[in-house]
Amino acid sequence: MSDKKNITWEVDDSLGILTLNNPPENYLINPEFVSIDQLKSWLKENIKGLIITGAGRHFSGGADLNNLMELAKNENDLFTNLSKGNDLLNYIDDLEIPVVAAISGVCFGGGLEIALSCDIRICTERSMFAFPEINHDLIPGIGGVARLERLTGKKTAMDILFSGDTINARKALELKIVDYVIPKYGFLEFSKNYLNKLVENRPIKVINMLMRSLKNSRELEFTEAVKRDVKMFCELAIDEAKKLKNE
Amino acid sequence: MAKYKTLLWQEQKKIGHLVLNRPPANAMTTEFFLELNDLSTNIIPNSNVKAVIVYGDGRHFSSGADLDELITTIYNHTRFDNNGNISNYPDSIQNNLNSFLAFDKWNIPVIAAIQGVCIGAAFELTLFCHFRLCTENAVLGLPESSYNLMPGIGGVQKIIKMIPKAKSLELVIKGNNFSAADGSDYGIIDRIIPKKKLLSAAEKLAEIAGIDYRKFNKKEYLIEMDKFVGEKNQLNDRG
Repeated sequence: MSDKKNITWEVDDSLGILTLNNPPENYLINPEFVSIDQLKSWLKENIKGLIITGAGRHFSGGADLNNLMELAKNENDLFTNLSKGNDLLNYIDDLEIPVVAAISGVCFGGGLEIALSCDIRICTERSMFAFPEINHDLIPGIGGVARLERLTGKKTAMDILFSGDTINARKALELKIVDYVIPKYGFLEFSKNYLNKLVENRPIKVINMLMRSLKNSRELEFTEAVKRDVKMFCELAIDEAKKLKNE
Repeated sequence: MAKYKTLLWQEQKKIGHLVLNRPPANAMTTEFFLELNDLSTNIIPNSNVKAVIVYGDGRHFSSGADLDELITTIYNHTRFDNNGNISNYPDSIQNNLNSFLAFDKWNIPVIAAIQGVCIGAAFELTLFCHFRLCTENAVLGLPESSYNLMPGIGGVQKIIKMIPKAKSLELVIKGNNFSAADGSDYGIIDRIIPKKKLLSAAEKLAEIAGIDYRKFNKKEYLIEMDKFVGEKNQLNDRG
């Protein structure tokens, strides 16, 4: 286990667990809550799946508003910091391994933006979600708007963003913001088991290619994305053919 | 009428019947893909059918591609450059994909009527169809990852457009088979139909949707078909 400022990193078998660790609400001091380089070096070691979770009762209450207002005194500082946060969430979103957000308690603002950059969201029955930015005359600043819209469609996204209302776990499931709702106790265990069962016995190359294929689905035109799939399939088939020849 | 060895093509009352016909499990061999390519790109576009129904002869839809044959073909026909990197993939593989892509170019509804096993490339084929009807006993799935492969004919791209990312990831990475009921819950299967009525329901749907096919009327066509199948038999009515 290694501790950086407000972040804990653990490896459990082939899974990496990144914990937002600034209790009780795990407010984010900076939008870039961990540096990309740091995360990259942690992920080097045969990690086939990543879990992002919060220490204690909550996932994250979002940005530390006092710090944000301090930064806002200098326009450049604020922009640089948000850009770094944005880059980090894009990096997480683009990872070629499955990423699970394991959520309990509050998941607000920047916290929700982090969760939305993950592939799969698992939360407890008591979890709560919101983009309260509107109450401060702000908007989500690190990709949350686009990611929410992608998930729920425009109408629901507008309801959530314009109202700032808190959504409970059941409603979040209904709106497709989360994928699984489970009892409070053992939610992290559940998430680890879920992700472990997903990736166990699967070679990292196959996982990477499937993740790339899913990413292509939203970045490329359909026929181009399918062509890339054909190429990746051939590459894997050739690997298998070589194995058969060496047996 | 074209003569094929691994599939049958029949035109009845302006409805095309495309039957995978290589018992016992209608495996999709190289020969099958060649014949499908001819049918998809030469015969069907020049026929005057108003809809196509795809199904398997016998108890199963199809067990998917013949993997040994496919892997050998790819290995033998892929060209490498001087550094040992892949420079060209075999044309046949692109042709397999073109056969499936053609389903959208005919501008007529294509209906998969699935019973028994329908996995791998066979399941991918059904994902290119516009309707998927299925018997209760069907076994569906994309098990490619368990052979250290991935769906190679567009299955990933199709499925991610139909269902949430988390479920897509599970289906393609874990690669577990799933039942007709699960497929219906996920929103992949349009209707579960009693075995005895599967083909007649598909014919009815072909008739209804084929008259004036518009993709956005999909729900209405299915509701019309339900009336024919009978209320008692609507095991699934998610719309």
